[in-house]
Amino acid sequence: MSKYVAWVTQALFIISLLSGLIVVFVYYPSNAYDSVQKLSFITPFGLFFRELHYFSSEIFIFSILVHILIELSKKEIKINFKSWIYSIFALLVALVLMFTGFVLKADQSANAAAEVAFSLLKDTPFLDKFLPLVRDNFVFYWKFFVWHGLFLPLIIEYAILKHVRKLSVNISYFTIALGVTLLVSLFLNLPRDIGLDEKVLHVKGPWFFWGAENMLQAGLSVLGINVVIILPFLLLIGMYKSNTKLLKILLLLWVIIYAYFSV
Amino acid sequence: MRIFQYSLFVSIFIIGVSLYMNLEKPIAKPSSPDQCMSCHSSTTNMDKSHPIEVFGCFKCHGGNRYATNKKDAHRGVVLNPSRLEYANRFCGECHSDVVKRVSSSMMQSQNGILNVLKFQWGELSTPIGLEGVVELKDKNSTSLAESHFRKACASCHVNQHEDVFDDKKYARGGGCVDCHRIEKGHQEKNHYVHSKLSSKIPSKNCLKCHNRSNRIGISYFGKFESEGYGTPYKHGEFSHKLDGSRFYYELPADIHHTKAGLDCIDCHTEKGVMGDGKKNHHMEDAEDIKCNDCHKPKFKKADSLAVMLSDLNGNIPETKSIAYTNKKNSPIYNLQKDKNSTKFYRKRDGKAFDMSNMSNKPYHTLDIHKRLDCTSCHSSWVPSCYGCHEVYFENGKQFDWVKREVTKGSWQEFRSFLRFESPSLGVGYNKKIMPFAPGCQVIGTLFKDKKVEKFHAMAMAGWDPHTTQKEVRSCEDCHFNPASLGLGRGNLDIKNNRIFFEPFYNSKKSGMPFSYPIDGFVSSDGKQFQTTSRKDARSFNKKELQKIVGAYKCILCHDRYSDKIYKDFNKSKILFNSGKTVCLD
Repeated sequence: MSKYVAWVTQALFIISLLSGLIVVFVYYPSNAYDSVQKLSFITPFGLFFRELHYFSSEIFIFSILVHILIELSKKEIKINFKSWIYSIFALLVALVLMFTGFVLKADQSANAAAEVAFSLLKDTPFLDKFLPLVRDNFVFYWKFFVWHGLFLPLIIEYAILKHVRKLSVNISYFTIALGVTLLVSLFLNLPRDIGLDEKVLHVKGPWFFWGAENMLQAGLSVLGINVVIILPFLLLIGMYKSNTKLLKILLLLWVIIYAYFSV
Repeated sequence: MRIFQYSLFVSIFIIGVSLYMNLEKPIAKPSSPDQCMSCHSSTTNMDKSHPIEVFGCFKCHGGNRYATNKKDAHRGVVLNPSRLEYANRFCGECHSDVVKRVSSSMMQSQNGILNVLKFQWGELSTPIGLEGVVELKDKNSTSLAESHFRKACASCHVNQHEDVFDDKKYARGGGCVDCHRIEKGHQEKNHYVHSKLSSKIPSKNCLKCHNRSNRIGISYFGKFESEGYGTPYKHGEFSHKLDGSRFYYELPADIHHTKAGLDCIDCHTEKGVMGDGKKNHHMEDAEDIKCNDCHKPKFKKADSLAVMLSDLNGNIPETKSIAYTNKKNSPIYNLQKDKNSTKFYRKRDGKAFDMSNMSNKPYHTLDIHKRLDCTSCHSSWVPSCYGCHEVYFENGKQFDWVKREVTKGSWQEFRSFLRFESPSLGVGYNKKIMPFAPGCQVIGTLFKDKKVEKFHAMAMAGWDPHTTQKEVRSCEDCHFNPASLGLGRGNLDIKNNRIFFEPFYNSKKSGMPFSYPIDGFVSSDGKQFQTTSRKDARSFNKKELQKIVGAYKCILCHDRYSDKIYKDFNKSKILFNSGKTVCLD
């Protein structure tokens, strides 16, 4: 089962990468919202590839989580510590990729998410130094585009390679991953792009950020949010050395609390 | 292994289905300038400046310009982008200066009406201060004047919601379209006819609002709101109807209308109407045009605004030399001068009229009349509505035009009598002598929970009534008519340089809560009875009254400006005072 999920996860990553390579041809950071809308409504098969890119990436995250859960359910983690670290790092990078992808759709929710991210970075000691790496004063989406389209895929590929040693395409698993993605896209719609001129009372960031958003609204400090975000990764790292019940309970508690704040 | 094979098989099937569905999907045919055109291509243009082939729909109405289905395309669409809450986003992209000015203009805020009302009803010490409609929006006020404003006055402002009017014929508001729309959008058999907008604003758009209170709009067209009942009947219907419950008499219309068929916008400049960006307190502050601007014009080189406006109009030729207003330096681009002539062009159709300068004859240059505003002589009549009985029911309910909902408290209005002849004169807001009429005389009865209260707020106001004629009122009409002097209607006599006046109207006998005649602005000894609508406006004082009436004995003989004493009046005066010319009295 673990191997099955691992291969599908890898295939999903490749689908996401390839569909991303296609949509990048019609994406213009200087005219981001318009280019996304053109892609969705005018470009032949544009919506098909946008949905493929979106859903393969979403399922990719879920399959990573399932993959980790399966590994944690085992008595001991069989891979070496370095490989374990790379896998957790890959999860972190995947989430950052998802976030930057969310921003690149350039609608009102994307703008708001970017502004929240800027504010979080600005108010976080040490991380505030990295703000110029994402904020561009001339073309708002340019640096997000560079990270999402170039550096983060390279970094995640490196992390995955370090984790699995070899990135290979198994045509059968690839077919299954593609089938799952298309099945989901047949029944689910892309989250609605909120037009730049639309009057909306509330916008939300990507789903994995809802908990943090609500915690911020409830009054948690920026430092507290950083701790909340980094905590599950630290717990996962800690589990390699001592896969104790306590750490598992802590992680479960984190999931319950975060889920509670997310809904 | 079997699960793997099944999932592989199902996946291949799903991929096949998905590919089939996507290949079957019709590929959107890009349309220009936006995808809206794929459905709305037959919609007509709203004017020649905003062709739909160039602007499309999205530019002005928002929505999703790329969407190929109605649901996505119409998400966020604004039906009327000219409402001021949207105008900055849409119209303002090109006309930001104008949107900003209109948003702070008096026709949007109605601060002039609100402040004057509060001042006259004793709630403000000066007729300035409040911001108007915007300020009242979220306020739960207990002020009587504010209540009256909400229920009776606030229906007329540029950004009023048109949908709150039951009778769409009288709908006002809507932002820019309140004035600029000349035809409402409607569906025809095969296509949609877009609302038509124009810079050639027909007077009927102005009259939607300017038909009450000082009634400038209807007076200009020779309609005097009367106590009549709309006869003669024509085709079995009333013929002289203003709206559902008001009727009019026909009186001489303004010469600008009768002689040249001018519309309001032929004189009123864009800055005067849409505001100048400043917070003006009263109509005359916002107003730009003066009689002199056209009748004694100063010509200058046409600026870019003038060129743009005449180009937009399409009927008015571009020229190098045009007139400008003295007050705000606005181009009067339809008053032009070339080598041989001065022409005034009617904006509606470009019809040209020869203009000549105001004459320099004694009636315009005499020093003794330098304090007269043009309107004091040239206004032939003023609608004068004396004594407005306002009844307030505290427990009643009435529509609040600011909150746009029915709220507690209702008002009913009954009037006493209306006159038009011999307008009263007084010292106006510009410190010049001008016609005055009631504005407003309120005798109020307040039905409160368990008691009835009464109040009165009597005021006269001076304004240009827009009933201009070339022929002016006679010398006697100003110098010995008690109504013109502001004393009211009655018998006037002068003995030993003292003015004696016996009014026709007896307020006490009429049950009024004051002793002076209802049409009396001032007593014969110069005591002002009623307040005014402006801080500087007032009735004549004793000295002025005596001076005016005192001249009557001269006027009895010298009643024509052609009389030789007016050729050099100062010289005539010296000769007379030194006894060298004899009065044949």
